[in-house]
Amino acid sequence: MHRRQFLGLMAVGAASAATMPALLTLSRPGPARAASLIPVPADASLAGKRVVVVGGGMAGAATAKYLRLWGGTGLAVTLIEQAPTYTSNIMSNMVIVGERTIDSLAYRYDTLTGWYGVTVVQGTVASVNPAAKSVTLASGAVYTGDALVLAPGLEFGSLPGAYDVAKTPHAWQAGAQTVQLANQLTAMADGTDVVITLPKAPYRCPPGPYERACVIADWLKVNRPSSHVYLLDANPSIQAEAANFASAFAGSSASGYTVTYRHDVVIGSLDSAARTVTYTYKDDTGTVQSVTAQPAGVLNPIPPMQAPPILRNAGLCAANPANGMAYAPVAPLTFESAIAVSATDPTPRFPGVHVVGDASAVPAEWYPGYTGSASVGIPGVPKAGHIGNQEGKTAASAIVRRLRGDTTLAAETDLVLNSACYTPITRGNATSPGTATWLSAVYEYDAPAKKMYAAQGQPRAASSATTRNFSDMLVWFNTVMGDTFA
Amino acid sequence: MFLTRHRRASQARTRSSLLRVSPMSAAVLVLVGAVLAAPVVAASLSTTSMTVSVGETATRSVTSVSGTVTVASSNAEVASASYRASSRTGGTLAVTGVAPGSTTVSLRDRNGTKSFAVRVAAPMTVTPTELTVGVGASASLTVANAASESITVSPTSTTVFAARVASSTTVTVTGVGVGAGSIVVSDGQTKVTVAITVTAAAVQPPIVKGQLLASNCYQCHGTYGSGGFESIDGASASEIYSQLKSYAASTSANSIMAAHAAGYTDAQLQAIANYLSTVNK
Repeated sequence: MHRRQFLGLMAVGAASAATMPALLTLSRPGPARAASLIPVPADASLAGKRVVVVGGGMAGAATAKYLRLWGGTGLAVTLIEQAPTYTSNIMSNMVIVGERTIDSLAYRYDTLTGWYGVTVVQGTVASVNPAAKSVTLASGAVYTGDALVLAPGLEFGSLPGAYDVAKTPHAWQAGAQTVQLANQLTAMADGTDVVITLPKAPYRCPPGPYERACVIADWLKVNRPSSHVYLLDANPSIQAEAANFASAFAGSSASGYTVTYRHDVVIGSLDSAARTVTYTYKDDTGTVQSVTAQPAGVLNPIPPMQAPPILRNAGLCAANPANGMAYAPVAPLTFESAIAVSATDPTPRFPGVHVVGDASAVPAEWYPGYTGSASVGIPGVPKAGHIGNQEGKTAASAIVRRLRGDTTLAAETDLVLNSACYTPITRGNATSPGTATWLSAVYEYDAPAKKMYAAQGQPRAASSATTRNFSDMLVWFNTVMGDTFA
Repeated sequence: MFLTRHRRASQARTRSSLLRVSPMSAAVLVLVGAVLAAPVVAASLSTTSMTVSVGETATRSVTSVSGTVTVASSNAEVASASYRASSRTGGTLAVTGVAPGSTTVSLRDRNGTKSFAVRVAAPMTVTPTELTVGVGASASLTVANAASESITVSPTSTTVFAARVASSTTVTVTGVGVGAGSIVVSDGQTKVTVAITVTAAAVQPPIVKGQLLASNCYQCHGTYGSGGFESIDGASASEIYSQLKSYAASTSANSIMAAHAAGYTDAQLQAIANYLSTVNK
C-alpha cells in the first residue's frame, strides 16, 4: 500500500520513474503503525525540568510528544486538557454529509501518557500567569513550568441579530455541533437552501468553509436535488485554492453541482430561530447588493474567532487589524510570546511563554515580487492542524535546546513551516473514494525581518480534483493524526 | 622592609666611612645603618625572577658575597624575603609568598644590589568541587593557578569513576558506575578534594542539525519517517537528497511533493537528507 502510494505520487511528477531510479530504492513498505512508535530516549539530563502545555489539540499534543522525544525521559511534561478525548476538526465535514461518524474522529491521550510518558491532567485552565510561567485551574490547582506552552485553540464570537449558536451550530469545533449540523441537514426539506457564512480572515482552516460548501452541495445533488448552497464570504475572494473551488462552484465536471458564492458580505442581522440572514455583498461589478431575510433550510453561520479569554486576560494578545480579533503574537523561531515590555522596549515581556496553534499570530509576508492576489488570506501563517503540529515541534525544539543550554538557539535561523492539506470536492470514503484537491504552502524564516515568508511560488494547489488525491487524503489524515497523538 | 642578617661587626666598622644610601628610605637607614657602600662587584645570585605560591617559601643560593648582605621586598604584603649566610661569601635567599601580587626583592652587599621580580600566585583552585556525571559520560574539572605544570590526581580509577589529567588546566572525570567518591587534585603545593557523583543518566543526545527541519516530513510520512506515505528514513543521505532535489526541480502541477520540496533551500534539503539517513537505524 505504501509503495503503491509512493509510486503514485511519483507518477504525477514531471519526471518518469525511469529517470529517477533512486526513488525505487526507497520504496520499501512502511512498518505498521504500532511499530512506528518511537521510544523516548533514556536521557535524564533534563531531570528536574518541567514544561506545562495547555491544550491537547493538534499543536498542544504535538508539542508534548516532541518535548519528550527530543528532551528525553528526564524532562517532565504536563499536558492540561479539558476533554477526555480530542475530536478532529480535519475530516469533520465528512461527518456532516454522513461519510464518517464523529466517533471515528476521536483521539485519546493513551499513547501520549502510556508510551511517551506525558502527564495528562484533565482540567480547565481558569487563568494564566505568564510572568510566573504558571496556570491556575478551575479546581484551584496551580501548575508551573520552566517553560509554558499555550495551545488553547480559539473562542467563537457572536454575530449581529438574534444569533443563537444553540440553534444554528457553527460546527467549526468538531463535536456535538458537528452531529447537530449533520442532523439538521438530514432533516432539511428538499427545495430549501443551505446558507453558510464565513468571517473575515484570519479564521481556522482557510479552505474549510469552501470545502464544506462543496461536500454539502455534493450531498444535496443526490439527496435534496432541488436545494442549493449559498456561501456568504466576508472576505473579498476565496481564501485558499481559489481556482479549484471556483471551478467546483461553477459546476465543473469533477463537482457536478453549483454553489452560489458571494464575497464582501456584511451581515446586517441573522436570526437563528427563523433561519434567515440579512446582508449586503458586492456583485462581480463591485456594486453593493442587499439581501433581506434570505431563508435557509439549514443556516450555518461561522462566527469570527479569536484567542480565548485566558490568553487575552493574561496580556498575551494584540488585535489583528484585518478582522479586529485578538491573537497572540509570537516570534517564529521559538513561538515565544512577542508581546514587548513596553512601546519603547521591544524585549519580550514573557520569556519562556510559548503560544502555538490557532491562537497564535505568526508574522508573515509574501515573498518579494509576489504578483498574486493581495486579497487572499495567506501569507499569514494559516490556522490549521497540519501546521499547528509543526508549530508545536518548533516550540518543543526551541524549549529543549534552551533547557540544554544550547547557545546556538539565538543564531538558529533555519526554520521552515509547512502547511498542507487535502480538501474533498466530492464526498467519499475509504471504500468508495470521492475526489479531492490539495494545498501546500511552505514558509521560510527571514532573519533580518524576523518574519516568515511564503517561499517563492507558494502556495501551490493541485491542478485538479482527483480520486487519487482523495485516497491520499485519507493516508495524510491518518498520518498527521498519528504524528500528533500516536 | 629590610632585614639584616649576620652582619659582621668587623665589616661594618671597615666600611662605615663609605656609607652612601641615598636611594633608600628612612626606615632603611635606620635598619641598615652604616653598612653599604658604592657598588663595586655585586654578589652572584642564581635567579632573575621568581614565582611562589601563597604560603610557599622558595630559596635561591647566593655566592660571591662581599660584606654584609641585606635583602628587601618592595611590598612585604605580597612576599617577605630573608638571607641566611652559610659562609663568609655565600648563603641562601628565602622568599615567602604572603598574598597574590607582584613585588621586587633586592639583595644588596658591600659591592652592589641585585633586584629581581617576584610574583606570588594564588593557590591552586579546582572547579567545581562537586561533580555529577552520568555513566559513560565525561566531565571536566578546571584547574587554575597550579604551582607547577604537572598536576596529579588520585585515585585515577575506581569502580565509580576514572580520572585523568588532560592538560595542565584540565582534569577529565568519566563515569564508570553509579555511586559516589572523591579525588584529590594536587600541584605539589595545594591539595583540592573534589566530590564525584556518578548517576545512571544516559549520555545527553546531541542536538542534531536537521532534526526540526526533517520533522516537517512527519505529518505525511510518520514520526521519524515511517508509518504514513512511503517510508523516508534510513536510506542513504545521497539517495534521499537526490530524490528531494528531483521533486524540487519538478514542475508537475499535480505533485504535492514537488510543491513541498520547492519551498526548501538546497542546504535545507541536504540537512533533511542527512538527518533522515541517521534515524530509525
